[in-house]
Amino acid sequence: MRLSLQKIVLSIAIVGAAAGIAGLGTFATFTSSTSATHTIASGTLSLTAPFSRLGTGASPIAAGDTMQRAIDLSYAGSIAFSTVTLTTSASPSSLLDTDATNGLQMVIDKCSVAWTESGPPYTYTCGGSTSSVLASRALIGTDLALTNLTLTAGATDHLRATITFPSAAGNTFQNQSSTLSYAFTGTQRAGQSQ
Amino acid sequence: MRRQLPDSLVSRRELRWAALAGAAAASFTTVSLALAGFNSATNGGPGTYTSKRIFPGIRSGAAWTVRDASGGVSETTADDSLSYADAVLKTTGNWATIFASNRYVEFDFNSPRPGGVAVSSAQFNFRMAANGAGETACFYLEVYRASTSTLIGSHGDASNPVACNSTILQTTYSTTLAEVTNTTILNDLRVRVYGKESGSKPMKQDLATVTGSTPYSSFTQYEKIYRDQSTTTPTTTNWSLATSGDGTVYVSASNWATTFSTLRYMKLTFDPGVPSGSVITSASVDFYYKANTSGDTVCWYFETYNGATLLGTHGSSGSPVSCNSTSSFSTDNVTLSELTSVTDANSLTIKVYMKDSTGSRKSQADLAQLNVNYYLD
Repeated sequence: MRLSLQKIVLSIAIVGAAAGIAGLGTFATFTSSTSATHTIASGTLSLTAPFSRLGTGASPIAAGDTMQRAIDLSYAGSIAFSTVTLTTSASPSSLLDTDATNGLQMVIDKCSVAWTESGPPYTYTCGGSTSSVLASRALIGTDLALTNLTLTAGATDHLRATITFPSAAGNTFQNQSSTLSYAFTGTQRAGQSQ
Repeated sequence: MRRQLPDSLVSRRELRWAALAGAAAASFTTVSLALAGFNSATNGGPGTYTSKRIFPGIRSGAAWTVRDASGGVSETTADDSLSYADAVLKTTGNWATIFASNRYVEFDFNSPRPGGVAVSSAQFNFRMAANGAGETACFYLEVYRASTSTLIGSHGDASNPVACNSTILQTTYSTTLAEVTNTTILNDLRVRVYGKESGSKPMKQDLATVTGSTPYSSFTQYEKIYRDQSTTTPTTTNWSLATSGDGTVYVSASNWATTFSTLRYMKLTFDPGVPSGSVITSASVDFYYKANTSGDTVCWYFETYNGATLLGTHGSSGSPVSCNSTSSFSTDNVTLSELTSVTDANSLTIKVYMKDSTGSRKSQADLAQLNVNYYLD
């Protein structure tokens, strides 16, 4: 059905005016009201490394060499962590990090108390109990899940990375150089009713 | 003026697209919200790890230089004939007047270098002359991996030889071997030389070495196996002191006496090519020997030198390193604790004193080899 624009606009105007008058009549009575307010604030999350030897490289290394480096991870904030992952990268890169089999390998352990350090070259002994944080694998990896961490605010995990240059690395690994970076990322706990 | 509304403000097709877009947007928003969350990151490092320029390892090389004074009078030069341009010649068999694929001589070189190191300016040095005046000797060559007989390079061919020598004057021809790019190849090298001689006569060879450089030192590779197939029938001649158990031995130039004498010795010189700055962690000498005549007993002791400077003494005339009265080679390995400097290693000469129980008899040596364990940071 075709309607002219004029008729539609006129009809809307009439109906709107009537409704406005009726509304005025409705609110023109006694009123009473109450109100309540509350504050919702988001929490905080902080992962820091107050102690780290991961910036200490090694040169020159030979096949069969092992390097130990410690790092402490501290948790702070008002929200608990659920996970911490590790992403490692190399720049510049070389066979030392690109060869997953005979290039550098890494394993991470945790000590229940601070590691006792000696050196350099650094080595570490644990006066408490140890647990595995990352099983032995090629050093380079993305979002590697770390296990057996405390993850609670106010706590510190004492980690030791052991980097090994496999004995099977042949002469092609001579005169190679890689600069390695380690990024630890902590993620909040799952959402819950509050 | 009257305006007419369209049949429909929005078409059905447009409505369907709008619905689809809305659903996609809602889905994206939901997923994004689900993945978002708080996180915190911290870094360790960076730390730089650099490997040694040369890994620790034992590198072995035979003696290619022999000065034999077993007779107690004077030194006889008994070097490998193809390792030096010294007019000590190796004569081939008779070639044909034209090249043929089954007429060649071959050289397998020694393997004393640490593997995996870049090589530059590798070249094959071949010193030769025609057999007689008025004759011309020509050659071209191929390069192989000795372990697999894989051809890795060709230089010249039957139509375009690398060189010809129309004289009897020994001339050195150096051919660049661009295919030898690292010491792993260098340690596994075979050069095959195809030849022809205008008079169907032999070629007289004075030198067949491979020289070049690594980032850390220059080098010379010496032939350890020589195959002569110039006549189409192969004959093999190994350098006597380079490989044990190969049936090729070095027989002293003269007879030893029944007692040791400082005038009776063999001087052996090595070329380990230890790069400057290397750290030598250990060194030793292998010396395999026996009497040249069954039933005799031969004994030995030796001194180590850098030039005229005595570095160490191993055994003595009263207490030899060992004696051998059997028909088998005594396989002696003697540690050289005095060999700690690169200079001493690269200039090492050992002076071997021997005696024979009956006198007027010679000795045999199957291996004379220097082993140096070193690395370069």
